[in-house]
Amino acid sequence: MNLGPKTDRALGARLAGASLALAAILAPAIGLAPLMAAAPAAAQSSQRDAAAEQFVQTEAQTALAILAKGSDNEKIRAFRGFVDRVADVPKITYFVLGKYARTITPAQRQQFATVFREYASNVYESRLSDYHGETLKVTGSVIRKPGDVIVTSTVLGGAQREPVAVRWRVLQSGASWKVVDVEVKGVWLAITEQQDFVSTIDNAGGNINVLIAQLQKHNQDVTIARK
Amino acid sequence: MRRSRASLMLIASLGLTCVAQAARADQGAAPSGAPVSAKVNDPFEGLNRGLFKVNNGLDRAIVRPLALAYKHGLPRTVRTGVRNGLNNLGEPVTFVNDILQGEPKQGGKTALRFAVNSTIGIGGLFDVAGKGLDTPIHYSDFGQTLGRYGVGAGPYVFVPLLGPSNVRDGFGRIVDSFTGILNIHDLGATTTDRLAVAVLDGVDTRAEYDDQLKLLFKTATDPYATERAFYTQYRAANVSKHGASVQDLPDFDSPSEDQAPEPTQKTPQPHRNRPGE
Repeated sequence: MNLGPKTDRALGARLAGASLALAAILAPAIGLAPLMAAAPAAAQSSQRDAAAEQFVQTEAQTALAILAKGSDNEKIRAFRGFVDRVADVPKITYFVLGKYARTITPAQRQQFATVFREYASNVYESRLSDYHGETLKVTGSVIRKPGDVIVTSTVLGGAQREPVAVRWRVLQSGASWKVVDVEVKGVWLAITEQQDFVSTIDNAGGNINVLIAQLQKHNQDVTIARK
Repeated sequence: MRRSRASLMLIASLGLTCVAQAARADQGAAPSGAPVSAKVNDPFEGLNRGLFKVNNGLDRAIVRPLALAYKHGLPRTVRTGVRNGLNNLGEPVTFVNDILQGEPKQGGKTALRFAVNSTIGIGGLFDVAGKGLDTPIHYSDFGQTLGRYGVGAGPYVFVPLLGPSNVRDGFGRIVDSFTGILNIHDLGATTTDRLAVAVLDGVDTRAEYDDQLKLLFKTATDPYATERAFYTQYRAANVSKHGASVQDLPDFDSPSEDQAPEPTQKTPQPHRNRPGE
């Protein structure tokens, strides 16, 4: 049947994923499109990682608890802290630059990290209100290589008419885990973001400052719009 | 006509549409484990970008205003009926491809939907099968069928009014257009009728994804590349029924070793115009 506004939101959410840093964490929170149930192939794999699964399940609950109460400003503040703790922001920042991660100067890198974080935050914060009580259930995992695990989950309830399959890529970092990417219906957010950014830099003749400037402009527009 | 063709038919601008279409349920297609390649197969990028721009111009001048007029001029129940009818016309294409893909069970569901919705559902205006028989719509197309037989996607292609595609899926769309009900049975349909259906499909789809498109253009630093990334990944997932290996994902720590920065720096320019375009 047809999509209602919820599905629309879902897609928006994914797009917003353009700002992967958080959309990731967010995906369960936003109304994602109704999709099929969990991913059987992944779920049935014998190569599961219980610790990674536990991590996603636990943090999803934390995220949903943050989204469930408080004023918008409180949610935003709590969510930023949550994201910093659960997502590997430095790795994501490096990854989305693709081949340019190796040529960026330290000064540019610092600038980029700042604007990218702001950009990503703006995108997911604009969607926090799309959360309507969805819950997330981990259904399995596949070990890509030790310490690099794809956790499969289903988001249901809330605005979802059908369960939505969402996959999380988590990397082990010391004793804990960190989220680096999230996928819905084949589309990985960090990979999509990387293609967006790399293409932007390519088109600027390899000038990373052009991307930085564009993100700055985006952030300014958001700030102005909020006033 | 169904949604997937709608994406072809009009909306052009979005990989979104395709993703959205997926969102509509295709139970038959593989959810997970899509082969994800960070590599971009777009040898005609200069041309594609030109066509993307043309599309955006057409969208601003004609398609979007039409879509919004449609959306705001008609109540949702009417638009839902229209969408159901368009979906119903697309069921035969899905059926043919379900069978070609060796999915008789899916084919059975499609046939059941078509039979029930065309009759009890009054020519498809009501999705009785989806609501009452718990048989939600799914979509199959010939590009997907080819992919399941091992045909690669080929170069990315962007066609104004039709949207993002690739050589394989574009060919698939042409094949599907011949197996569509308005061609097989004709139902006395003239070329004008078929065109009208295509336009309606496109307008309806465009209206539905207006918010997403706005977001794409607002958020992405390169909307063309972002849409391409969406479409490419979505279709790969759609084709890989049993899920490709997660080994196909790029390493997170050492991105794209295979694409070192080009040694020669091009003259900086805001938007690409590759040499020779």
